Amino acid sequence: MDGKTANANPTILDRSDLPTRQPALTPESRLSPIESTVPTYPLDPFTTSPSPLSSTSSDDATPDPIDAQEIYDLVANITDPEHPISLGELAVVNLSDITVHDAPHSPFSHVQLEFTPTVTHCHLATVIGLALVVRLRESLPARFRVDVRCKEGTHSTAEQLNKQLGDKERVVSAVENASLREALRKMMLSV
Amino acid sequence: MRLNKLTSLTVHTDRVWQSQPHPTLPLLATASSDCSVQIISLHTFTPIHSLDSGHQRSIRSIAWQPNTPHPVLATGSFDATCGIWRYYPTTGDLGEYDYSTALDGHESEIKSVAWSAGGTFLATCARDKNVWVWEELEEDNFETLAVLQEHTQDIKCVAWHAEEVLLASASYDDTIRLYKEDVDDWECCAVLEGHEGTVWYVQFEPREDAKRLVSCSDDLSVRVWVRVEKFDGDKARPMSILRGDPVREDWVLESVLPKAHERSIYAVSWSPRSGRIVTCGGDGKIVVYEETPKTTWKIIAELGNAHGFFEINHVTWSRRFDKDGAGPEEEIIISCGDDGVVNVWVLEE
Amino acid sequence: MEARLYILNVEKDPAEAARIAAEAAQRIESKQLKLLELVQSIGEHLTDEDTTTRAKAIGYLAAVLDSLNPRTLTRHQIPVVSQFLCDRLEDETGLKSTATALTALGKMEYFGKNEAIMVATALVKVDLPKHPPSTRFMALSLVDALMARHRDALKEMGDTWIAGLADLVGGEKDPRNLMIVFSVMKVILVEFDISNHEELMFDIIYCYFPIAFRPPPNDPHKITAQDLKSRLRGCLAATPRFSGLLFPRLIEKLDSTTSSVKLDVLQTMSACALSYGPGTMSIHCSQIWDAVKFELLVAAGDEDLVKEALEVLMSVAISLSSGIRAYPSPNTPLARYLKAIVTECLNLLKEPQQKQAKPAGQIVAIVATASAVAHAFIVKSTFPVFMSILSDAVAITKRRALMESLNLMFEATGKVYGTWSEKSDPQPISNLLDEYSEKLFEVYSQALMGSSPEETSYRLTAMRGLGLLTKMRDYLADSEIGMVVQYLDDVALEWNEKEEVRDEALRILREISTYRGKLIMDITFPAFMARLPDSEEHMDEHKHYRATLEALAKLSSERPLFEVMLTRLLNKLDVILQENCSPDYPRSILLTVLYVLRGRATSPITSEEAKAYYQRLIPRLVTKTVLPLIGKSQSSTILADEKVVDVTGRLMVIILQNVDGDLQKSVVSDVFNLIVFNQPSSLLIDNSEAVAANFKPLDIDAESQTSTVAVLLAYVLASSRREIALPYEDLHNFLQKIITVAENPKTPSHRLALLRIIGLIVNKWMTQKTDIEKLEPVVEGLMKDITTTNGGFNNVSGERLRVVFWVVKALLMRVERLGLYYISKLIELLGDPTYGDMVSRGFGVLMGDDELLNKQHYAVVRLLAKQQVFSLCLPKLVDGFKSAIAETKPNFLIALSNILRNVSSSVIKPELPALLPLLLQSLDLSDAEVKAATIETLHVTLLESADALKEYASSVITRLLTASGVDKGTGNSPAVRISALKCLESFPEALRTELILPYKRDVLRKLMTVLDDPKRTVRNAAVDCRHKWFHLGEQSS
Repeated sequence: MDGKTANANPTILDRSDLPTRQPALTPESRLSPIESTVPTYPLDPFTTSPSPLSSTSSDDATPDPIDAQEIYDLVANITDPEHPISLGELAVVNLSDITVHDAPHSPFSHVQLEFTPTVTHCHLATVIGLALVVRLRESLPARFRVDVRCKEGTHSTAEQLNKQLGDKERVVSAVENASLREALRKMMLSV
Repeated sequence: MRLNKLTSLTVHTDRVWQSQPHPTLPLLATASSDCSVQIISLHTFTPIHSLDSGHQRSIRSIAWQPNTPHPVLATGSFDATCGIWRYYPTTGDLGEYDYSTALDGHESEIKSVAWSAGGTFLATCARDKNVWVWEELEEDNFETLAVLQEHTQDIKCVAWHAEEVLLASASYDDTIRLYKEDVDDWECCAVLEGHEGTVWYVQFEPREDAKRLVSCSDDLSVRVWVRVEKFDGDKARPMSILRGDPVREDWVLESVLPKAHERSIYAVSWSPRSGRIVTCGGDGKIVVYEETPKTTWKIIAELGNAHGFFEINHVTWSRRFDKDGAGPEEEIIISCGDDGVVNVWVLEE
Repeated sequence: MEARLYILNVEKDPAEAARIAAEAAQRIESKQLKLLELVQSIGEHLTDEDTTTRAKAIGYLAAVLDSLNPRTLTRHQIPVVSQFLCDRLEDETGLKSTATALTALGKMEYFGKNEAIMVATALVKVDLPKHPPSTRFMALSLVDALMARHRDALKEMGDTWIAGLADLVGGEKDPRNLMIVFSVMKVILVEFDISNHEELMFDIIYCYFPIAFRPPPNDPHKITAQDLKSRLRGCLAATPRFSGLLFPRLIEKLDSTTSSVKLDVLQTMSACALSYGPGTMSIHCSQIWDAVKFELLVAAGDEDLVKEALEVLMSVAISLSSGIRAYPSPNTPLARYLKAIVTECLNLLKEPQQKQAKPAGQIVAIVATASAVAHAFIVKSTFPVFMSILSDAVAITKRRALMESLNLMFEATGKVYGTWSEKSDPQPISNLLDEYSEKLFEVYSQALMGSSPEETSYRLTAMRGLGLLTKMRDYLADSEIGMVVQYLDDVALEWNEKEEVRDEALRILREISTYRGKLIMDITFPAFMARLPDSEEHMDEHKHYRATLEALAKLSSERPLFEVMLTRLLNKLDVILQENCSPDYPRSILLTVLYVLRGRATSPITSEEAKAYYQRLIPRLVTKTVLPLIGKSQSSTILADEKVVDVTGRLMVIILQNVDGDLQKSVVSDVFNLIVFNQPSSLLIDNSEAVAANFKPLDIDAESQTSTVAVLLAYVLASSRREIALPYEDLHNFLQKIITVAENPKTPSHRLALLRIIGLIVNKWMTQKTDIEKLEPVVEGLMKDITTTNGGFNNVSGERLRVVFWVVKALLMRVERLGLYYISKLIELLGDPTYGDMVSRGFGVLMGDDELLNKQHYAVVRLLAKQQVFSLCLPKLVDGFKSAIAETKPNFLIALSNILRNVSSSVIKPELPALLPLLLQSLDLSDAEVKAATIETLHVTLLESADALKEYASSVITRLLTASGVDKGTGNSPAVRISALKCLESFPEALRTELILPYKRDVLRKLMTVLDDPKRTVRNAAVDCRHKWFHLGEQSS
């Protein structure tokens, strides 16, 4: 078979088993399709105009903290550079390996993500790691410091890998590199 | 003491990597990922020139050439070239900077550029693990004196001694190396080991008889190193003619400054006026240390979120020139960060 | 003589020429003219040095022959003419007409074997390729005709014909001709002895593979690449003699990078596999397997390729199975083929969670569908292993993945041995899967019922498996099927389940209901009904009654089950009404009925059915609604609650819309009796007298619940067609009556109902000129005290204003002049400090689509009504806005946004230049709704006519950035922020890059802060938006 691919036959998780944010809806709190067969009118359109979006506009009083699931959702759909499969399905990123320390009042908040290459000699680990760093840097507020590391004992050259991914200067210049940038863009088409 | 913000300049649209005050004139030059250099007046804290037609990628580092009739700048960019910019006065006008020449040689991103004290030598370093030493024979005619391939990794910073022809380089391989001109050849004369992470920045003590240098690193430590002077007999020793056996120098760790940073320390600056040291890093902090008595350092000021939530890439001392300044001995601190902002600070009781 | 005339005319007047030929034919048939004379008559022209004249002369003969009765020419004439024409074949310029003539001659009754051979022999001497396509076409048609009528003769010719034919057709390029060539060649390959020419024949045909032909635009012959492909495929598959030459080449071509070629190759392989027969396939099957498996296991291309590749493997299996009636013994080709496949796939399936296991499972399943014997072999050689993995494997991911493959096998089994819905032909050997039925049932039941709800995919797989096992004809025991139904009931009713799991359970239950309806009625319904509380105090133990109802509804989408559900729900309703409870529960029950009726798109409700529902449902509900109100019933008055009545009304609408006119008519009068006239009404099952006496919903001082019942009137008026005259002689009077009630509505829904009644009457029944004349003073009256107001806000005036809007709305739908007149008045009112705001909102009502007052409910709606109103309003609004005082300016913007929200973007587009300045100002208002609406408009504009926004790009982007930020008092609700971000996200694709690149850095910087929005939904929108801009200006290769 094709020798170039790092791992031709990886294990794949079923999409429906990937961690998702369970809508905090109990059957009675959620609007069942039956209830929604009838439009809910504004009490009086003449005093408050009907809002097509009112359903989504929950109030700002109750903020949603940035949590591990949110981080996971940001990266799980990045596709592997050699399979048309998401890093979530390949279990390269796992919810349990994400730790978030969201402290709006301390000098900075912190996200650590440990990823698991599909095979310990995966030569694409660097690109994958880079994609994860870039995606998180691009998507998280400035107060977050992002540490992407390769999970303990899952890669032959984990140390170099982690040092590189931790080197801000390296990451920045990598992203300025046209070909790398294009590779990353492709991986993120479906995020 | 407290750091109070004197002013804040949003002169770039992207991360600012470095800012360097001119050795004599009231000028500040800034290098940024937006591929431009801004020249800012330290009198008025307003931008006067924008140099943006030289590099295609991030400008990582800049350095003013000392002892020139008109200001001259060297820029080091991720596009692997080193640019030389010259100022030309024009009557009645602000004058202008020209991109006069580009020095090619490095194979990958240039990380740092530095002029020797006399302005004759220019050192550049890059991810290609090489330090290049250039000499300007006449205007825009640069000759490569040496390509130093001592480091095993990416080189982050180069710095010159204030008087001796002594060059230091700091690297991703966790070491600092010193080089000297030996006969007509450049040799590594010392290796400073001890940091447990990338060494981001290095600077000699800013005095002509300097025997010390300071470095900062990913390992969250700031270290002062000192040269162990050899007794006179040694000086008389006939110079070795055997290659690979240059005039060795012995440098040892003198002190580790009190730990104050929580993330990588990206830059350190040693004041020629007050002898104080200032550092900054990924944790968004600026920290000022004072040496009292000799070799014992204590933190005299510390400021978090100095650039909001953003990381701070560089910090430097400068003489204070603006009208509210109290004379040539008063100094300011200039920091720049990922927010594209340059902040100017004064240290006050 | 005629010959010359023909030759002269054939070009300038073909009709005339045809007539001449036909006449000549006539005369020959009537023996007035001898064919030979005619032949001689053209003789002189055949020596003419002008080639076209010669051709035309033969053309004449051809035309005559063509119009001759086949029986005319005698045994003696035929050979002569044949010989004559065959000689002419040497005259190249005449070839076309000669061929035509011969084709015509070939149809003659006495044209026999010898002539056929004579013609064929002459024909093969012709150097056809050098002739133009149209000529070749005639010659090929001749060949085709000969092959059709004198095949045996040609067969006798043997190699001369075959070799000659090869020269004739070789290198043909014209698609129309190729169609003939391919069909002719197919016959040759099938019926003729080509043993000496195999290679030659193969080369002639294979050189066209793969067909890369794109039909020319407006091609008269309408030949598609597909036509050619399938004909060529027919040739290649025609004889197993090709197999040795063909398969290696096809396999080679599989490496092609264009998937259309791959597809063609695979389809051809399948076709050949099916026609070459087992003997041949036994030689090639292993190399085919090796080639195709690579496609499936490694290349893993798109779905079509996978499908076709599997098809090939199956076709081979089918071919090898033919004639085998018993379990295949190891040395048979079939056994060897399957063995190779099983060995390899089984190996992969031992690690079922890995990528290649999936295709492996598909392969095993597809070959098992090939035949009963193949199925038997696969089951026997794989299931022991599968079962042991299932009993050993603890890792759920592993079990799940394997069960996925097993499910494929169950489907395969269904195809071979039939399902309850599709019987299969009797099979030579019994289903070997039978012996595993208990074990499988056990394993799958265990997987479904014995695992934690988190194991979504595992349990989904198990459920589907159980569904498939159940579906297989005569597979599971009825008791087992019963248990499956119970399991599914439990899942469907377990609220800790993920929704997708419950829905899947319901889907399978619905499926089972199609062949085991009784089980559903006997097991599922009782189980579901038992979960519905009988009264308020049982609520807490069944607090998920809504979800139960939802499950019931999803289950009962088709009529038979719906009927059962209806009965049971109505009984439940009776029980509940015994005691007082909150309106929500009864409402939900009625909503469930409504939901299913609405969902009946698949099989529309027949009028007969609707009538039945009406009689079972409506009077019963109305009675139970009204009687308690007048103390004639002990049961709860809860059905009279506005929320419940509303649903009752909707039920009336959906049912009444499907009943015939007569019933509609009587219902209308019944409702009028009940609500307007207070007369005995047959909407009531009993006590109608008492009701008439005591139930007066339109009385001003009626108490609220009673008044609310008037809502039913609105719904009935909506559901009745215009032709049905209202039983109220003076409509005007009636309208007044309603308006007076409407001046003091009891509740919001009561108010809405009355306004709708007004709108419905005006639009549907006040169509006469006189009606409209009478309306004007009414409206004037209503507006008077508003226009003359100088005091503060007055409620009655407010209600009157509402009435005005509804009257005007009803008129504008018909684009009545009066309506247009009043709309300008209303726009003026926008400047009124007291009522201006209310009016601005009113425009939403005016332009909005009402649920009852619309075309579907038989309202009169003129074409482009909205458009006309819009273009009338716009300039007035713009001017009004300009001249308005700061205090009332927002009213104009709100009105505008309310209008824009309700007209199609195509209408807005042309007006954009005038609009955009106002839109931008609306974004500066702090009214969330207006902002949202405006952003929507901008977004649509951006998507549909981006150019209009070009010069405003900068200010729009800045405002959107502002609107996407949290800031108290700006009216940037999360919804506004999100829509702003979504709009912003569309810029990079909507406008040319160079136009917006300048804003990139700024947008990215500003969005930095939005990334820290307190709301997750907003953050997500910001991330997506920022991602788009982040990659702006990069070539997307």
